[in-house]
Amino acid sequence: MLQISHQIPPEINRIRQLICKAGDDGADTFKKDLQKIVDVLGEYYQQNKQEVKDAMIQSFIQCAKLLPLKAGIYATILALLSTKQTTQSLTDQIILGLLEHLPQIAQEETPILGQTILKFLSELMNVGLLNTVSFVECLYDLEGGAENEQSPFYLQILLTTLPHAMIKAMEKNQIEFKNIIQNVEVLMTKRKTEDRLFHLWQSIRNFLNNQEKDAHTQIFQQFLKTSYPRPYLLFPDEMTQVRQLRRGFKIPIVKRTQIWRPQQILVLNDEIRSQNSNKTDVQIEITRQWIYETIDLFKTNRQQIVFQFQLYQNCIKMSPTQEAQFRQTLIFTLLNMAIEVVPRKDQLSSAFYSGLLTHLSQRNSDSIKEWNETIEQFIDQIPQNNVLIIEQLSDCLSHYFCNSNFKLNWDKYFGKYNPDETDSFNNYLVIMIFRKLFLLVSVEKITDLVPKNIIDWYSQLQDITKPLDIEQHSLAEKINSYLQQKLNGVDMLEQLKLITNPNPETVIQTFLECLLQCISKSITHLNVLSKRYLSFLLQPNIIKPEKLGEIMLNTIFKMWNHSVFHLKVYLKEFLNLEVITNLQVINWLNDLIKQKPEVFKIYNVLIAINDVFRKQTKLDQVQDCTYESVKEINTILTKMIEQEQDVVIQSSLENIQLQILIAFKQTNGTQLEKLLKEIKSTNVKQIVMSF
Amino acid sequence: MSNLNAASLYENLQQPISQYYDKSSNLTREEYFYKLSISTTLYLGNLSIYTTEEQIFELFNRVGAGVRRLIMGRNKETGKAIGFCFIEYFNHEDAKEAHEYLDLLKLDERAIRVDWDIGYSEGREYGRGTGGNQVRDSYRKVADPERPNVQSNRGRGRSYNNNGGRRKQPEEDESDNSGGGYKKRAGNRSNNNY
Repeated sequence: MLQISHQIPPEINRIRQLICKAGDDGADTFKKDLQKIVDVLGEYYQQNKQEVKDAMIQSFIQCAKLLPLKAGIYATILALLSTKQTTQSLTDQIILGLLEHLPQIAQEETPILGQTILKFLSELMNVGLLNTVSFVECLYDLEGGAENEQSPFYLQILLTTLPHAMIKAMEKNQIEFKNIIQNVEVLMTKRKTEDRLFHLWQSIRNFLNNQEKDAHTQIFQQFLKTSYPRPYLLFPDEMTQVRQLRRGFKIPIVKRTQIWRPQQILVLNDEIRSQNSNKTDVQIEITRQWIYETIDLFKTNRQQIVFQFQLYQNCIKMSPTQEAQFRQTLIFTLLNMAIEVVPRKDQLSSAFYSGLLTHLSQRNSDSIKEWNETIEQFIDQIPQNNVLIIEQLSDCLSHYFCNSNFKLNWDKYFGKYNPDETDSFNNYLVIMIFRKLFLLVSVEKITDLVPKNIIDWYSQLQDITKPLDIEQHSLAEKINSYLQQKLNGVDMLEQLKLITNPNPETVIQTFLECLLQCISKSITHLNVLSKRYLSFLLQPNIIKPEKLGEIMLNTIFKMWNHSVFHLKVYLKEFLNLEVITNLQVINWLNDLIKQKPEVFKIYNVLIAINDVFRKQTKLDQVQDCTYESVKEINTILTKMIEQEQDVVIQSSLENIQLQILIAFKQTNGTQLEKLLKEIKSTNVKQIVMSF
Repeated sequence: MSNLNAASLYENLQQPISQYYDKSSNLTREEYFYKLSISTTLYLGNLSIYTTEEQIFELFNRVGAGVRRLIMGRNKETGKAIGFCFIEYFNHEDAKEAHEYLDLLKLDERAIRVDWDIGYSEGREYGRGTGGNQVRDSYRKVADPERPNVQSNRGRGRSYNNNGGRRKQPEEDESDNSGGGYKKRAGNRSNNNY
């Protein structure tokens, strides 16, 4: 770690600070700052003290690995140092130190660190410290690794390196580089997945095919001239004196056991993309890669992510067009990550994305209007095939709009609602966004900001918790009086037993309905009352567990079928108390779908079940994850998916199936293979195995 | 393998975990801040007394494995909400994520303070100020319709200070409900209003 410590000599701390913070002071004094750093580090190096040299090596290694924005800065510093004195061993040691990490990185869950290391090595080539032939050999090593593994870990590292290396490599070693490109083409053709790697590859391929002709290639060429990522452009004379390393090196490729999946990109933001030529701007892809890297590397500290983005915007002098493109790429990338509903091990919560979006937009308060317009553009293009997308998106936007003083285009959002299309995806989207928004702020508080037609529409839309039409009124009266007396579970049971009724199930049903009415007052009521009363119902000879589960699920659906929030909360609570089981939930879902209720009610239930299962897995508290029960759940879900005609419902069922299988893998991995043999879809298997 | 934590490189951007030290915790400062560093509990302050559990739960449940427990701050005498709560997560990482990314939060048009807490224990949900409300409301010079209506000390010219209350956000004052001003409430809010 490079933190300043008072036990460490001041000169070591100073070296760490200088290297870590190189370039942080902005674009105006950039060249002078770099020169100063080189002078100071050169003086330290000349002292020839081993601990000082070690500190420099370690600092460069850490920073090159963890600060992807500064790969070019560190390469430039090392190049300038090489012109002043013999620092070959310094650069050698840094490269060797980075390469030593690669085998361990290969066993990590994501290739991010591999990417940043290779990016740095490509910049060493760009400054002339590394021979192009040696570097292209590295690309061959990566390509070999990519050929021999199932998941695209090495392929990702290779592809993300290419945009930084391709110009120099084409210039100096065209034949070998073209060979690599052809091999990558073969690898990419075999993959039939349209994910982040696909778009990155498209952009690289289009760039290479159309180098001089395309307008967007010219934009990229202009971008290449910006000096912050490539500070060596500020020192053209010095770069001619850079002393190249004599040795080559190899990228150690190891056999990997983990499966890694690149993120999906559900909404693209390349305005230049046309259906005919399928172009993708490589500059957008580079920016997108950098955003992924920054989020992954700094995700534990919000201030630092925001700082990195500010650094990017302050230091890279962008034209208005480039600024707009950067803003669009940033917003689109964040929202794409937020709405990626296929489970991922490195998935962050919607609060992360909404919080980051909020903080980043507040740093750019001058352009809130443009931010909001970009968000609207994104929403216009979301795929309409999975309700979980709506759930994630509405989570993000409700938080964001609350914090940005409701400067949204109300009419634009409400305009998506079509009263003539009762079951439409867009209608559900509008309802969810406004429900979540007006849950975070009471609509009566912002009547000046919300158009009257929306207020009127919303007031008709929302229900309070539906009072149940309890058939047994006199029975309910009795039970409610017991509840008001706050009897404990045992006493309540005794009282219920005393009630004469030919059908004991009716007594229990009425009791549950009364109880749920009480519980609905608040979450505290839910916590207290459910613990007080529900567990005693599980005692033998009171009611069969299957029947209890059925009554519970039907009752909560009757009361809260219009509220995802309540469905989630109550399902989670009752699963935790083991009043219902995962298998019961799936069976009940199957019956519910067959009854064909209003489709939005089914959507609400699907979202709630997915969320509850996902959270069980996160806590390693998966209920009843035995082989037999998971097998049965899987069988039911597979049949439901095959029979379901509605694509939206089908995709949500697939998500639920994935959640259960992932939960099973986490808790009972040894038997997973047996279960996976019954699953036909390779995609499902790969997703489960990536956990 | 070192984790993917580049944040450790920039020590000067790491804020102290909290500026509030609860003397009534009977812990030394070191013990207190150590507990904060491993805590799974957050304190939310400056809530409207009309903000419901559902509202808080809806937002804070979006993190990680969700909220484990939500304890609303109450007036011991009246049982009513007094504008703060504790949120307990299942692990420190989830609490940290909520603290990092749900900070600068507006709930019911009020800027909410999100701070670390050493953990709920019985009795901590009650206000320690006048009439069973929070101490900070006792020192309020300007009436805030969204906070408990404390009559004492108003008009005595006593200025508010931080000693009795949590760390203030630098940009807010005591009656901050920025973003459009207070809108007259039609009536008491039902907890079931969603």
